[in-house]
Amino acid sequence: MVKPGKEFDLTEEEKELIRKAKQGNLYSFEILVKRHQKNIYRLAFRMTKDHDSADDMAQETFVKAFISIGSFKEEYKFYPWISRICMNLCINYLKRKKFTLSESELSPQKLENQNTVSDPMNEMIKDEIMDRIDSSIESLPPPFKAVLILKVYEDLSYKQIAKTLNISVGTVMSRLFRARERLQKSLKDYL
Amino acid sequence: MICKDFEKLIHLYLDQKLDEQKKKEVEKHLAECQKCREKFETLKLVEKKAKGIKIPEPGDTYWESFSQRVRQRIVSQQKQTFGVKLKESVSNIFIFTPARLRVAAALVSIVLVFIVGKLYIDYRGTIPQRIKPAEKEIPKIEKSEKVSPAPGVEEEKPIPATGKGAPTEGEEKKAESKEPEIENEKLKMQKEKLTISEEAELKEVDAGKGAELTTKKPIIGSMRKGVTVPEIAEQEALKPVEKEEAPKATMRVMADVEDKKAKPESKVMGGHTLDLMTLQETHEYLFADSIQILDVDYHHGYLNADSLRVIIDFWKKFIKENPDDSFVEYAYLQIAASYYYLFEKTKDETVRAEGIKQIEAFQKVSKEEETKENLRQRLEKLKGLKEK
Repeated sequence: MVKPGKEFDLTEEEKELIRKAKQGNLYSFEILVKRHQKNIYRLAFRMTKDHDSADDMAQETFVKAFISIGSFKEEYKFYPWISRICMNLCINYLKRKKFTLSESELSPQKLENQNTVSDPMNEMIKDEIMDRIDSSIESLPPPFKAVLILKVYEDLSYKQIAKTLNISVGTVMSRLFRARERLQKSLKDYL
Repeated sequence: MICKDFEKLIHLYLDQKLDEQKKKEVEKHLAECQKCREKFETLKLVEKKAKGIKIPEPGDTYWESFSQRVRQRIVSQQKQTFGVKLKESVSNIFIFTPARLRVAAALVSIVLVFIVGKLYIDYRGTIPQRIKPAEKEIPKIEKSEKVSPAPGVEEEKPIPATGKGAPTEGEEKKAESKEPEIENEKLKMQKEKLTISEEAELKEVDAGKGAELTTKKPIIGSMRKGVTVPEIAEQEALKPVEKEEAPKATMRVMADVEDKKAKPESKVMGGHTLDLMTLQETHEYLFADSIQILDVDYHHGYLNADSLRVIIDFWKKFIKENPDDSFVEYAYLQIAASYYYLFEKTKDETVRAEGIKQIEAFQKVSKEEETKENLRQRLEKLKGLKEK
């Protein structure tokens, strides 16, 4: 299992799998999917906070990766490449979702209730502060959320985040600063 | 360091991105300022708590089937993509963009040009059959080519009706058959060239190098114009003979040049009406040009019995009036050929008998061996012809 956020060089075996996948070999690509599916799903879940959406985003990430694997260069790392695809998909998904759902539906309180009542898997999050943090992150605008997740959960450097989201390092720092400020404000009463 | 400066550096300090000096400054400020220390602690806690948020893990069955579902999704998406592309391309066929319209117009134009061209070629292919005289231009050109002499040639042998120079029966059939148009055009071009050379010759004649016109010229010219035989005799009598003998080539060249200006005035010749359809159609062609082209062997297909009798009478009169003319040899052959074809057409035994008698007489008086040989061959042929 590849540790998220850590850069790793492609092994010879992985290079061969990618080469075959480029030739249209789905079974070789399936091996790559199995290697990275959990990390991608987690990343998607952090962004969407919903199992179904995360599942959909994770699957779509690999579908897009297979379609555009011809443009993948072997000198790059595979996981950062697919995580970038996943983040972009999630950001777009959340932006669309924002337009389809009303503000009240997206409020932290509502999301909190949704998480605690409707999704049994989220019952694991019992700590109230954690719950609040979780819902605060959820309420962040997708671009800010993406930077924060990549920094906090993927443990990527500014440079890596910038590369993943195709933004400048300055933008990464700015968004990270604002995201933290928002979290701090929303948790002021709890801490 | 003041609090405002600290706020700018707090995130970098949290991410351990500060150099040693800045780090010390920040740590010093944190030790001194409680407010900033609380803020930093809050941020640190948030990060820590956030990292601690666990994600509900789906079961093993989910992970086992995940890659399979991805594969199915890829396959279905590829099919969908192909289907959508096919659908789009099919629907796009009926969208008429300006570029497509231009291409379509160009294609339609090409097809139309091809169809019109094909129809035109097919139509032209039928012309030689309908207008037969065009075929007969071929021997005419060949003849004029033969009779064009080099300057200074005093005497020229008459064109043989039979023998080596005359066309055989097979050749006659060939001449009757359809000639390709390209060949006709080539021959026309040759004819034009010859006309130029003949005109050049004429200039030389005018300059005094050649001989002057003889009495034969008006006779032949008048015949070509459709003037009756008695009229020819009258004209001949009126004309003063300036010189007895003149080169035949000069005479013919002059006749050709004059004939280009002259048009036939009548279809009546020697009291006989040339009523053959083919002859009517080719009347100008035959009689407006040189007498030379009125070679019986070449043109018998266009001549009916009356026309042949006209020719016989014409040449007999010519021989009678010009017994010493070298053209008499040619006249023998023309009369012999005329009798032969006249009998062929009429099957009249009296014509044959008369023809045999005439040819035998010509054999005796002929001065040229080649003429005699041709007459002998003609006689044999005439004798060989049998009544149906």
